[in-house]
Amino acid sequence: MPSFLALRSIFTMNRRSISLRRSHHIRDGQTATAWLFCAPALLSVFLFYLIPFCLSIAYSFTNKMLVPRIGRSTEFVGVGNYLKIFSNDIAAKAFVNTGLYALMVVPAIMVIGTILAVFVNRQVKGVKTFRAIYFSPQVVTMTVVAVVWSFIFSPGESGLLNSFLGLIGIPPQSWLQNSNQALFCIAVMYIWQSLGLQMIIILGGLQYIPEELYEAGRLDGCSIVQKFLYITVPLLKNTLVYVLISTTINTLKLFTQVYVLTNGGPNHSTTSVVYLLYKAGFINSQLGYSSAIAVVFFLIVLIISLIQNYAMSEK
Amino acid sequence: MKKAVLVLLVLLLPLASVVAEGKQESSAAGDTAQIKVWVSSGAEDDIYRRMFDNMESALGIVINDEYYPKDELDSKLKMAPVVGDAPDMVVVDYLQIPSYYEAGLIASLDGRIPDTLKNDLIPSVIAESTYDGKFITTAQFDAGMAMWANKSMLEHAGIRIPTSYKDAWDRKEFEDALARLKADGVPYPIYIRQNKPSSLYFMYLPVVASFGGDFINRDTMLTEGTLDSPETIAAYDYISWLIDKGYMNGACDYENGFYGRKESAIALLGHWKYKDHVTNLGDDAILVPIPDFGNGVYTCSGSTVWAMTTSASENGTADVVWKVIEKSLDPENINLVTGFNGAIPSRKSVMNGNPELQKGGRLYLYREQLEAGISVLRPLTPAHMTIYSAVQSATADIIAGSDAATTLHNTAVSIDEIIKDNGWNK
Repeated sequence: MPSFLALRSIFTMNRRSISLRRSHHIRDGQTATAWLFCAPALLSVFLFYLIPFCLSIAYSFTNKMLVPRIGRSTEFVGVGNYLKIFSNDIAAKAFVNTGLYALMVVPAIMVIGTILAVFVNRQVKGVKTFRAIYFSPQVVTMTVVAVVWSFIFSPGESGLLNSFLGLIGIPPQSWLQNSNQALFCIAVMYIWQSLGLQMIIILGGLQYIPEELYEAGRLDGCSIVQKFLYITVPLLKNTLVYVLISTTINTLKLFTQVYVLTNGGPNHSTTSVVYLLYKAGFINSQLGYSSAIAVVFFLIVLIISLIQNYAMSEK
Repeated sequence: MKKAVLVLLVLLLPLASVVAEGKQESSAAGDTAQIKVWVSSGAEDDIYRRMFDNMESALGIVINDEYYPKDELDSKLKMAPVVGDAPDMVVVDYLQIPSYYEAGLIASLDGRIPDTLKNDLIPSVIAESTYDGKFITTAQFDAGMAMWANKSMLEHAGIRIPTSYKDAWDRKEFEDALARLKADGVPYPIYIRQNKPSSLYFMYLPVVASFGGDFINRDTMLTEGTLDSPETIAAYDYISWLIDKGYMNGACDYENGFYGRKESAIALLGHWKYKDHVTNLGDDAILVPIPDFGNGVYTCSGSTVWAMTTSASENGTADVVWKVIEKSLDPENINLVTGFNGAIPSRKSVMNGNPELQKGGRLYLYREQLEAGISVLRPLTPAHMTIYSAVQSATADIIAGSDAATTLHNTAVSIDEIIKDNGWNK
């Protein structure tokens, strides 16, 4: 949720500026300059985050349409749109699907990303090539990734993955056409694409850990696992918190793969919250309902982020 | 403070120069009339580019044509009034027009199109162009819809080849033909573009109509009781039957099963595959009518239409836009596009000049069907995108093995809820 992050940064900035005023007043004449320099950023945040965010909340209590018939007025419908979310089977499925997807993707990226980062952190020959290979999917847009993976998950006997499975005697699977497999396929696709970036971020964190600590551990007789658990993980905590929260937020925003590959099917098994929101707003023209979904989704992401932040913060 | 203002001014300088340059450009082009056209992107894009280039020279105007995928164009047009970026003209699927018209985005052509030109248009084009009692679009062509067949494969399997809709196969003969083809070694006798279920919203409608079903009740403009009627369910159950019998590959994710891999002898596809089929199969690429499944033989029609937006009047470009639309209906422009995509020219006078559409010609069946009035139109309603999207998902689910009755009933319920909420049935 970029809007949430932006809001948080504004509040943080304001808090800092207040404390700055209390402790060290900005020198006379410089307050206006500070505001002037902040103005472009504040203006864009106000125009592109705050106003749309407030409008979304306002629209969520109306029956506003994206393209209304001439003469149709927008009316206040109270919490009608919210009740619709909680009583609609497809909406419920979308929230469950998004949660399941996050449960598949986030732990996988955290664990595999950390392992890969540790692996490519070694000073061995050719390690830079490995880093480039792991990172390369990141530079390809998700639309292209989705199209490429659609060939891999081709449902026929001649499909790429099915051909490989055929060699080891496994019958062809229908992958994206199967409601039990489609979400998993999309999760695998996303893990493959985004793993490289998270690996690089964790790698950056790893390289800030002083070598002396590992040396001390070695002198104390620590095993590789002990060094990883008692030196690497604690010192990597801030990086891991960032990776956890950013991956969770990005994962919950599942849309492109669904839009390109499955249209939410089969049987709504890949309908995500953002795809539902898009369909409600742009296909069905129900901007009010779409806004209500956005507000509920925002609150869920906010709560998850706060819980993660609290759980991982220093006590 | 002064320093800060100076820095800001320096930063804003490039922006100011860009704005100034833009103004200079627009004033330089100010003498020539300019129109902005948004086109629903497709196979004909290059043809339209050529056509617009020719029109620019002939009419002495500037046409700024932009091409977007169908869904993206739909989103852009819906947002256009909000962001103040509406085009002067659109070239889109006719089904998208009613919702734009209801939103006040499309202008009527009633006062502009001369009777001689209107009377020369084929009935199906007049039908798709008429909404709310007004003539709001024109078209260069109409879709030709029947089944493509591989003549050699049919002959080898000893199957009678119908040449007119009047002697179309009935259900029994069609199923017998499929069985014979299968027995003759054709892996999947029929291909219905199951790899792209969205296109079945158009292509499968004649089959649904032949079973006695429809997508929507054309009187109430609601779907429950029609989309989930026993007749429509039977039509969609037929897809499952075709897959179960091995007559159709349910796991197909490629486009060339008929003309490239030659694993199918019959393809439920329209005129737009003319070039692929004729290039790859030569004289073996023939048309046969869609079978009679008990309620008669049908085809479907509907095409890309040209419409003037209400922004054209606001921008003072309405007359120029009409000239462009009128020019698009010149025989050479109609022939340019239909020569490429194999569609049926929208003007009777132009149709007469195409040997493929004369009796005995390869595409005559298309003409015969349209002239006979056996064509069904997809529902003209502002709810089009909702119905299209929902039926597309339902079709994909049924191809993937879902029960047709449950799927279509749930789909109808969810569509009607949206239609009623939005007042699209009033």
